Amino acid sequence: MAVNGRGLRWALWDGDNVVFHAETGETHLLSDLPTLVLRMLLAGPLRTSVVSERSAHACSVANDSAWRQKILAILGRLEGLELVERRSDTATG
Amino acid sequence: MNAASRHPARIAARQAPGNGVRYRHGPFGIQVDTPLQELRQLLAWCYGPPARGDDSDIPRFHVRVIHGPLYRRPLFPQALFKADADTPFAPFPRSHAFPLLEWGLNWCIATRAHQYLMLHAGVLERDGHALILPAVPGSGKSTLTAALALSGWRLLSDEFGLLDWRGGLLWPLPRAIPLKNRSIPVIRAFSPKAELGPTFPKTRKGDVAHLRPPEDSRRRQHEPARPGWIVFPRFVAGNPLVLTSLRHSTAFTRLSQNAFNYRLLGATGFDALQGLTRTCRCWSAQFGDLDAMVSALERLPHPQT
Repeated sequence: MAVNGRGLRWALWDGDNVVFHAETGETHLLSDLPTLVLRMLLAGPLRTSVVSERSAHACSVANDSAWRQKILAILGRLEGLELVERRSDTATG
Repeated sequence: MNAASRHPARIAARQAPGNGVRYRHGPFGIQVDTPLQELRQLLAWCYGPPARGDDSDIPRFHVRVIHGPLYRRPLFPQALFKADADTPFAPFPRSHAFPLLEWGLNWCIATRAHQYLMLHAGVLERDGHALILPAVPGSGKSTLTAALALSGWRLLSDEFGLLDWRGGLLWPLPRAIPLKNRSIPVIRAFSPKAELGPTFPKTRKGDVAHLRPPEDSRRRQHEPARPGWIVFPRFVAGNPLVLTSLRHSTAFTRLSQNAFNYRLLGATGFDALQGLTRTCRCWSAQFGDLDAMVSALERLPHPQT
C-alpha cells in the first residue's frame, strides 16, 4: 500500500486529526489509528503485513488475526477515500 | 398610448447602464440599475441615500432589476434580476422586487467573491472580537443575529462570514436581515428598536420582512473584526438552553460544511479554516428561548482568557 503525501495537509487538535487531500478536495476527520497507518505509509510504500506488524508494535498490542483484520479494514476505508492506493510493486518491508 | 410609450427617451435614460444607484456594502461597491421607483425607495429606507458617483469606486457588482414581460404588466407585473449577463432566477412578482434584489446580491457574492472564505454564518462584534454563528437554514440564525444586533452587538453580517484568508480578519457586510414567518413578530416583540420594512407575503421562503441594519453597523462597515467565538446555534421550540463546548476538530468539520466556497479554495480554504478555528473558542448551542440565548452569549468568556 502507498500514499501520495504531496497533496496532504494536516490539522491536529485534542487527539483528533483533520486531513485535507488536495487531489480529491476532500477533508477527513480521522481518529488515531487510521492516522497512524496513514503516517506510516507516508514514509514509503509498505506491505499490509508490515503495516499490521508496525502498528501493533506502536500500539503495544499483539499482531494477531483480529488486529490484522482491523488494519485491513482501516486500509480498505482509507483506500475508499482515495487516501491510499494498492501498489503491485510494494517491495519495502 | 400610455405614459411610458409617450416618453421613450425618459424611459431609455432611466434604464440605461450607469443610470443606477450605488451603494457600499462592506468591501463591495454595488450598482443597481432599476426603473422601479418603489425599489429605490426601499433601498433608500434600508441603506440611506445612495453613494455619490465616484469614478474611483468601481462597483464590484453591477446588477439590474427590471420589468418582467410586457404582456404580464396589466394584471401580474413581474420583476427580473440580472447580474451582468446572468439571469439566475425566474421572475418574481414586481411587489417582491426588494427581496429579489437582496437574494440576487447574495447569489452574486456567493458565486464571485472568492477572495474571501465565505462562511454561511451570522457575524457580530463586541469589544473588537467577532462572534460567528454558522448554521444551516432553519436553525434560527437570522432571528438570533437580529436579536444580538438589537442588543448592543455590532452587526457584521447575517448571511456571509467574510474571512480574509490572508489576514485572518472578518469583514463586515451589514445588510438587511430577512426575517421569515414567525421570526417577524418575535423580533417585533423582542425590541421596540427593531425597524422592520414591509412584509412580503408568500415568497419562496414564506412571509419575509427585512430588519434594517443598525446605523452604527453601516457607519463602521469598513472595520473588520478579529475572530473570537464560534457558536453553532439551533433553535428547538420549548427546549431549555444547552451550551456545549466543542472540540476544535468537530468545529472545523462543521465549519467546512457551512462554507460557500471551502471546496473551491482547496488548500487555501483548509489553511484559512484551520487558522480561524485555532483562534476561537467553540460551542454548539440549542435554545428555545431567545432572551436566554442572548444572555448566555453576552456571558461568553473573553477570547483571550
